[in-house]
Amino acid sequence: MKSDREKESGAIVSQREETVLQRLRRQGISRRGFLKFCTATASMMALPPTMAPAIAAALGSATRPSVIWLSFQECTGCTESLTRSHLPTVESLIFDAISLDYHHTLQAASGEAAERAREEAMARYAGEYLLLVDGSIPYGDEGIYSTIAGVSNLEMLRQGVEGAAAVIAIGTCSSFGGLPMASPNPTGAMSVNDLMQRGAIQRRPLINIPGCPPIPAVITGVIAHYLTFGTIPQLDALHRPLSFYGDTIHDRCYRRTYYDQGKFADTFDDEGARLGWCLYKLGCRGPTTYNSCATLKWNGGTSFPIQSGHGCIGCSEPGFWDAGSFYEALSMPTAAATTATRAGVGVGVAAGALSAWQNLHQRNGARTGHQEVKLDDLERG
Amino acid sequence: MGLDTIPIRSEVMSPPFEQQGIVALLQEISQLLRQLALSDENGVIDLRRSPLSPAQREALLTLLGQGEVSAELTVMGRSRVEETALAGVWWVTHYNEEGVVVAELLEIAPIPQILLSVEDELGESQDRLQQMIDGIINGGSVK
Ligand code: SF4
Repeated sequence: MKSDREKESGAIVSQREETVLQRLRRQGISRRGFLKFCTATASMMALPPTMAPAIAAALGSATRPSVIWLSFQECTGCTESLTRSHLPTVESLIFDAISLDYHHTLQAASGEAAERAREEAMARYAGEYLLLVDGSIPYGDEGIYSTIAGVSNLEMLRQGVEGAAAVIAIGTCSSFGGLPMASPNPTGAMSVNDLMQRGAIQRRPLINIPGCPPIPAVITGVIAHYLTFGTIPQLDALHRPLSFYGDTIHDRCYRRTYYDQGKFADTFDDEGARLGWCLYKLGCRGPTTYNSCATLKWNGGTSFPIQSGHGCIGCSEPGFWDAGSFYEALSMPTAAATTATRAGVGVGVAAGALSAWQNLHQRNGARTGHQEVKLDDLERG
Repeated sequence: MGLDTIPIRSEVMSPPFEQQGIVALLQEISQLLRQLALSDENGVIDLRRSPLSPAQREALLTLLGQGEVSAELTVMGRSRVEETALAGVWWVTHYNEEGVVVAELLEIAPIPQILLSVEDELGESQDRLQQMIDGIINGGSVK
């Protein structure tokens, strides 16, 4: 039995005659090439590799949905991340497989022609298009702090959401407010979800892909999931896809064995740091941050912050900018609770608790106000 | 009555911390081999989803060793299939056109999926052979 959602997305696909498989075949891609593509896609979507045949079958009938991408209060880092992705084969095929009808930065058209393209796509594919949003939305003073072609971000989002089959919030800003929302939040910035919750825009199925910026393969992985199966992947309470945000960085960190043994770097240049010990005491946010950096990594799978010797700063979590200095150890309750409930490793709990206790005096007030990071913090010890 | 009269297996001792990831992977491979023997079902492990440090990855490569077969494919970029020293366990690496790894798998199978020729293709080959034969008979020359 197909769910209503699946039927709905079936309607999207009938709009564009050529299937993804036909398109790839036309480009001269063989069965092996297609199998390879599906294997890489499964890996990218964090699905078990045994799903490759299911992806092949789904892509055999899926056609290209229309995608409209709106950018609001943002730094274009999310788009940079996506276009700097190091998997040109897979990612470009995905983008071949969607029809990106509007994107400020990437489209050739500008000015009125660009806005017309957006309006046309919205009218033609009403109820069917996928809306991608990066950047938070200023809500203060009726949204006057950011406008495009004379239209406030709030109004443009409201119109965009109305005809969308689903909305994907890309980056921490559109997912949780991000930097624009950081205290004292002068523009009254809000996330897409905030606006849906307070009824300022209509509610639609929403996927959050937080990260500052998000990992390119996660962005394309989620789009690929929607494209392939026509459904929203399984989400957590914060609307994040479980396949990419189901574990903390700490759960999947290769330095975890040192955490469990209580071996910590105390400064960035001590013996422990050189030996690659756990960065918990140097402020690592891995234990409270849900993301895939530890497995998918960055720059084409080259490395990720912890592998390069710096703790995780938790950029994909709500309110990360106002959570105190990045160089202070996490407080005990969160760290201990995470470890105890998710892994149940006794040594780690004890070590974490001890180190957190040692840092007790440093974290007082960290969450109440924005703190400056001083050179001392970096050279501590 | 002794323990040997009931079908139980004792659990392996837990390995040192650094080796735990590798031991877990080896156990998974072993379980997939058992499944292959019992039900002819191929198994695949996505290596990029396994939290191995670069050193652990190297260690795993060394442990699994080099088998007798290796194959290189040119299909949307390079792909490399290598038999490990364990028959039925294959290390498959897919690269894109720029030489970046897009998927790295351990495939537990008599022969990896990507090397097989499937029925459709056999039919296509037959059609093409027939065309060649017709071409020669009608045109009278071999090109
Ligand atoms: S605290 Fe940070 S460095 Fe240490 S194990 Fe957890 S994620 Fe890795």
